[in-house]
Amino acid sequence: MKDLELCRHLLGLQPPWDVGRVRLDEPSGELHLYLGQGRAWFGRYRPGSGQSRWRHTNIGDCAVYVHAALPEQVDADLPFLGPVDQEFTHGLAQRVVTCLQAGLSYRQVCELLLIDVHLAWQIRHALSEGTLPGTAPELAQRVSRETVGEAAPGRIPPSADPVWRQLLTDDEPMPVRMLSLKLLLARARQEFAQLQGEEARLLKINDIRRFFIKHESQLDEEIDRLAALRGSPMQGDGS
Amino acid sequence: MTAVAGGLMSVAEVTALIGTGELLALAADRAVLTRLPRGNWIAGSTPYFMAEQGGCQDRERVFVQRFGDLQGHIRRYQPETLPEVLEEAPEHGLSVLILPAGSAILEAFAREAPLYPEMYLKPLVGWVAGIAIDDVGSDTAVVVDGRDGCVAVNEAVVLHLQLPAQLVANVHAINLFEPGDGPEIRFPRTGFEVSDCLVDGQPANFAHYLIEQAGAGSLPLVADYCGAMINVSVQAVEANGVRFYAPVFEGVGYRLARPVQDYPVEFLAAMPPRTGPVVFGCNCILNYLNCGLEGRRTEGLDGPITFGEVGYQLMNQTAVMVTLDGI
Repeated sequence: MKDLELCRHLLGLQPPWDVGRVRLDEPSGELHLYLGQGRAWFGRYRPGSGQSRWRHTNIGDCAVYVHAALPEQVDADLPFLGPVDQEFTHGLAQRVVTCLQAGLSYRQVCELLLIDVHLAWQIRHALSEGTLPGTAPELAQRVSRETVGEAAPGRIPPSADPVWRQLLTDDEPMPVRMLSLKLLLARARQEFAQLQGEEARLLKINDIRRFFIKHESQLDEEIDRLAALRGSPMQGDGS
Repeated sequence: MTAVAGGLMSVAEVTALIGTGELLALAADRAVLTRLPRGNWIAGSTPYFMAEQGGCQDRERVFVQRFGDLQGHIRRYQPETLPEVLEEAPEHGLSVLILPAGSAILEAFAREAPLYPEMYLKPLVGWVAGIAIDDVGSDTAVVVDGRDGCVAVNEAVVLHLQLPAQLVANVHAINLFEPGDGPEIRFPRTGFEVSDCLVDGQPANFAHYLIEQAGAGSLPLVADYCGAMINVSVQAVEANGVRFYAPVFEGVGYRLARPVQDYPVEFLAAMPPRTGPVVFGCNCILNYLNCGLEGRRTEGLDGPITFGEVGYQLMNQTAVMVTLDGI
């Protein structure tokens, strides 16, 4: 069985979805799968198509990431895809819920599924908001009790925080030092106002936030400025 | 990373280095590149260099950029696969890209790179290969994949390097040009060639406007990208149109640059603070020619003199360098 066929099988893909490419980043233990629809696509880049990136359930010891551009009409429950405003697939969310229902604590679930602190916070927030399908209210309450008092990880605000929109729409751009962040912000600010639809804007916000998470150790000054923009230090739930 | 010296080397010295299996990025005259043995290297054509002895033209030697004990792999891209370059880059690494001047793949990269998946999230640097000014019209810029010796005029070669967890690659663009005090210029569409523009909001022909600005032809247009000054250099001013070395983008405001007085002196002042070794550098042929760099050194930054620079996206009249810094 070839690599792509194997990945198609492991993900449970059904037509028109297909795996165009697969890349294993051995040092980080990450497996990246690039999905598309239809035979003509073959995993190739299409200019202007906003790509989402979701964490999926592990394969072996590899953390799996699914990359795909969501079409306008999509089956909302496909396990290998996720919502535009989240960074995890429906399949991973379901696996978390199943583990919790089996009696594991939320911390144990995150350790078992190799879920990092940023994603753990996002999934926990979705659980407490009741937006994960099949989550009984008692389960959400249990997770809230287990994690009470735990602040948001690091100092990076969640993607729903209004500060990200402010960063992309303020008349004067926030001063930043890294060349890559200057260019990323310039592109995002130029595009943001012209984007049609909330989903496209969420993709832009996710890009910026991902940059901050990836380069957190180099962005002390910029993260402090984000905090100043928000008007108060970052807090945990509800922010 | 173990620090290793690069710089200009003879063909015999480079041949010996290639024999060790080390990953290398090379620059030399096209005829020299075709004499090198196969191995773990990528290359582009240029006979111009910024070396220890200063800016020079050398058609016999090879400029070698070494990456010590870093691990990585080489990939060759066609126009339809180049947009995947950053998706295929290591999650924690550095990618070095060489593209041939005057090619369709360069034009596509210049237009579309800002929209590539993962753009700006992973470090990407590189340069545009060219030819000696005297050979324009009789020679062609090439890139070479050292693994099989393939010489290409419409492909890109990339060295994807993996970094250890304690190091990070910081990309710096050193641009001495700043926006001048003149009017803001905007263009109605993205492209390498323009005729119409808005000068402070008023419709104008850009070629006519440039001709009226005596001596402005050697100065780039400069746009402010959230604090990063990005140049677009003029290639030719014709009767009714202007051709650039990189595209101007719709929706971006440009101004003609203010002249630079003494490039090497101002360059030294503009160098970023360094905590780690410089593992990559390049500077623009227009700076070499227009700013009198022949025989003069830009302290701290050696490398090929190039026909376009890549600091994530295509740049003009800019020096690009990478430092490996601890985190």
